[in-house]
Amino acid sequence: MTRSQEDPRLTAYALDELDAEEQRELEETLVHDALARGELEEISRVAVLMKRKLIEPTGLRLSADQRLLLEGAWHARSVSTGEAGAPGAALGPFDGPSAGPALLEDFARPPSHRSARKRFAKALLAAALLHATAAAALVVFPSTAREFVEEQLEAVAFSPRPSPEGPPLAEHREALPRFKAKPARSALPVEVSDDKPAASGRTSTREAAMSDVVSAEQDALGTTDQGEPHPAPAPVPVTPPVVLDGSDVPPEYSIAAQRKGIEGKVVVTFDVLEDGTVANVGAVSGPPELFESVISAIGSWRFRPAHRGGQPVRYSMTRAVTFRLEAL
Amino acid sequence: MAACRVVCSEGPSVDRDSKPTAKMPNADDFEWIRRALARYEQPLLRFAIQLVGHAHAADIVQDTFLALCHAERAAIEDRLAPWLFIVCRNRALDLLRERRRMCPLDDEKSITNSDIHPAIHIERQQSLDRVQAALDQLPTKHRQALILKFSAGMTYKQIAEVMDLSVTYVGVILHNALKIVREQLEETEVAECVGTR
Repeated sequence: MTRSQEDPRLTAYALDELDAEEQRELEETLVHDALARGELEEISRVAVLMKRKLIEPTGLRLSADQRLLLEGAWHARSVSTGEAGAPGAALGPFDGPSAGPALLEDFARPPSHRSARKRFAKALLAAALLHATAAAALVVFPSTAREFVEEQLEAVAFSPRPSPEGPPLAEHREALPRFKAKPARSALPVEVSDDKPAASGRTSTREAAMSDVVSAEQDALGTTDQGEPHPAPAPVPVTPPVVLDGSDVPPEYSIAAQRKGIEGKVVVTFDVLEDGTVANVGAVSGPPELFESVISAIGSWRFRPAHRGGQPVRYSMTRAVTFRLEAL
Repeated sequence: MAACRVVCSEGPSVDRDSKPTAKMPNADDFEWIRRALARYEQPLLRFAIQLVGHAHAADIVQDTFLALCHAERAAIEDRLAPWLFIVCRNRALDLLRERRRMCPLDDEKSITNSDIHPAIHIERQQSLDRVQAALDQLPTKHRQALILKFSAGMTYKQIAEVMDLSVTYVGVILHNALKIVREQLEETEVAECVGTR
């Protein structure tokens, strides 16, 4: 093996870790050194395999209880700093009574991490207790429950969203029915995007998982929640936008990204305007190196706009773009 | 060589005219934490498995994200990945110290094929099996550097920060690690060729 083959810069080059000057110098060497070129190809091949191996799911994941605990920690901090929004929107999973049992199970864990969990769990329990109180009060004392809960909400300094149509507490009032109706469910992503090559049976699972993620995000924003008694206005039929044939050019998969073995699913949100053009394209998740090409491509797409009652309307959409290296 | 697929599944759509999309105060922070969890849960679990084994990896990662929930976003946002992995490593070391006090020579296991979830094991491709076997043979430091690079997608500089090494040394470790893996793969391929004759 020659000296150039032992050069760690070859690996750094394959992994795109050299600066422009170093890259140029090495490329000059590669022009005259066939062995080094062969070495670089081999390094790149192993790097791609390694990447594939190491982005496989580990078989482990945080449990639903652990996710609830994380939300509780965030919730507790928000309450203590008075930064939180109205309950039931950003932190929907705490609306149900099952947060309590989840915590009790958590206390049964080994003592090694018990103290830290206990501290956060206490804060979560306090928040869950308030919500459970609200639910019980709505059932037992429906006439006075709302006033009671409003007082409690004010006491723990949840800051209501500014509402141009009425007093600030109006939104809390609207949110009250959700205390007893919405099931406890983690708003945190339940699945990391699976970048394994698509086997026919797995694709739908993966896409379903992504739907869960995005749906959960919608839950957190309080914007979409089918089947739950939102106090939203009565639905008006809207025809969703349809992408125009030929305009949906796929994003470019750059050679640099391929060389680095970057694969994955980029999820973007965007608005389809009344004239069918696309605006406000933003990447939600995925490998950041691939964001630009996806945003650029989708920004050029054209749609037949959404319609309501024959009138074109603005529509917000989500799309997922999967980049996948083929088998070697 | 490469393919790019556009998944045409309809994502949840929002009709702006009928449902307001104004974000809650501080919703950005929550979203940020959720994105961090989605992006780094698996890399952190993989990293934690190397440190404390499968039995405690999820606890370590949970504690890491609990710390994130209480961290000042502005102070760590620019170096989120190294921060998460440093916290994860420190928690793992705390746990190991604690367990060492409680029970000398505990039941910690190194990662082996038998530790992998059965469903994943069944689906694994042969070449990736060989990569796993080669990974198992690597020194811990090399394995950790590979995880930080390929699973967490860190730069040499970030890896150096997490592992408390120089950037140059990180480059050498990764170069050597890939070289060792490659040699092991070649040996396995040769052995399989001889075995099939």
